[in-house]
Amino acid sequence: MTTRIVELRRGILKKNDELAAGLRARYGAAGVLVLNLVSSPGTGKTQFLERTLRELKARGARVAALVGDLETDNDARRLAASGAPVRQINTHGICHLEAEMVSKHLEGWELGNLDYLFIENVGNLVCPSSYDLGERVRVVLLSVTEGEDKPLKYPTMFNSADAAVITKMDLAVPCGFDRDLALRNIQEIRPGMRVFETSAKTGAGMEEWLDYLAAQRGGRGPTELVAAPAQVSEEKQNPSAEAPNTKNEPSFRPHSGERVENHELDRASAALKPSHEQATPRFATPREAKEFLIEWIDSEARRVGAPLSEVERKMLYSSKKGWTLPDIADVQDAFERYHDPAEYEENMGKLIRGIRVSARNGAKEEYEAWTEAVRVLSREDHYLLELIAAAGGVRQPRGGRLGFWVAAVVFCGALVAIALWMNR
Amino acid sequence: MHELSIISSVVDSVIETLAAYPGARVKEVRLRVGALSAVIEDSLQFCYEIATEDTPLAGSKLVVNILPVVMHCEPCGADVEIASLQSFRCPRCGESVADLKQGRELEIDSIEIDEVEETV
Repeated sequence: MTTRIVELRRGILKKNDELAAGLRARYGAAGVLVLNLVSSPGTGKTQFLERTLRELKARGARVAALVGDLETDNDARRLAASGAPVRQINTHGICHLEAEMVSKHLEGWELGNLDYLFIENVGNLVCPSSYDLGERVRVVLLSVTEGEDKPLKYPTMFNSADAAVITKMDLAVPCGFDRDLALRNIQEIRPGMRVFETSAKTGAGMEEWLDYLAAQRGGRGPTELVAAPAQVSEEKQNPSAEAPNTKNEPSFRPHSGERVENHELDRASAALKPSHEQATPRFATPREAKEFLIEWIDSEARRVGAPLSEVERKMLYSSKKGWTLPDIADVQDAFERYHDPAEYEENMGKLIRGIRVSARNGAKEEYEAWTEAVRVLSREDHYLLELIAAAGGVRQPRGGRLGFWVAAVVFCGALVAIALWMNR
Repeated sequence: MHELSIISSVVDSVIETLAAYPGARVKEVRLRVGALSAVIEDSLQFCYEIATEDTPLAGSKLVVNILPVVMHCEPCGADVEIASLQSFRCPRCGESVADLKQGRELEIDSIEIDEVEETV
């Protein structure tokens, strides 16, 4: 009998985190902004979301929602009244949503036909904070009836959120709500977080909230979204309706380089039928591009029957200056101990070449997605870019190995030439 | 509340790992849990006993290593430890901090096992 210590260094929720990373890559590629709404039961998430969906639709945006509850589809029915596609997730006792539940309930929905997808989590301010759903924005809600110290009582949730919404502001006075104290408490737990003071009943604060959503979606100002006229969809439904003023189109066309808004698609479609007209995906940040590329490499490894270990996968995130994983130092440590870098780089090269071949032979947008992601990532310094450059093909602008060797050869040649010239 | 599902994932992972060590007995499972990860150690311990029953992990010890919250403080240019979850301020300069460096970990660090000698 010998005692042995086996190092695992593995995320406990690894399965969820991997699925969430895949979802995030999908959302990013489809150009849909995904938000995860969390609060205690009774805060008014559903009513707030109902109003949000309605007003976004009025602005011409394409919206959908998933709503999590232990039982009943009451919330989904309420939200569906807005006319947006809505699906209920019943967790049957589980106190939070998980990435797998979300993924399952997205089946059959074409994300490329959406501008916004809202996920209303189970009413609970503890457990949902551990489960990434692949969302880009986590919104925590609290109502004026719950007490100003809610953020102090649930710091883990409030600290993990990107934005906070105070609901039922119309009841602030009768409830004796201390607004300053509530705002102070939020800032104490999550410094710098945006806070929206709203009332779904009176509509107060909704304008600011919707503008924030538009800005999060792609840096487009609210006016451009407002300009997307509802008549476009009506025209689609009813060909005899007045033709939309096509002269207005350029005003809500995204800036160059962004994907063209497919406003010609049928917005009123409740089923969000898959379309094969997926436009060029967009990556708002190098981080999104990086997650997209890594997810692809990871799935390619699974496809060829040699799945990456966690350390191998996490190594792909390495970067000196750009965004990387918080535990990357540990990962690199483990990598140095147990892996042969040359073998690893060769293996990654094979996977990247495999992806490139299948992307080239596959759908055009797949290949565009890959090159677009590489282009966005090239704004920063990333190890992944070196691997991609080493695999041949899309060249990175700086730090690439090929570039280095060419420069080295030219430099040496120049030295020799100068030496010869001086000796003459 | 979700500690049971977290512990169940731990047990699954350990059993998966044990496949490489036939006949081995688990003595200890060590977790790294960030102070901001929204799990309670007592609750983890309680669930561990239930979840390991009738598994190769039965009777083993669960060690939960709680990692403090570490934030980067821009004015100090340093990573600082946040002692209380009630106020995210730098203990040195009092400035608000939001750049999380550590505190949301939820990881299996390692396991200690008694291995059966291989007879060659």
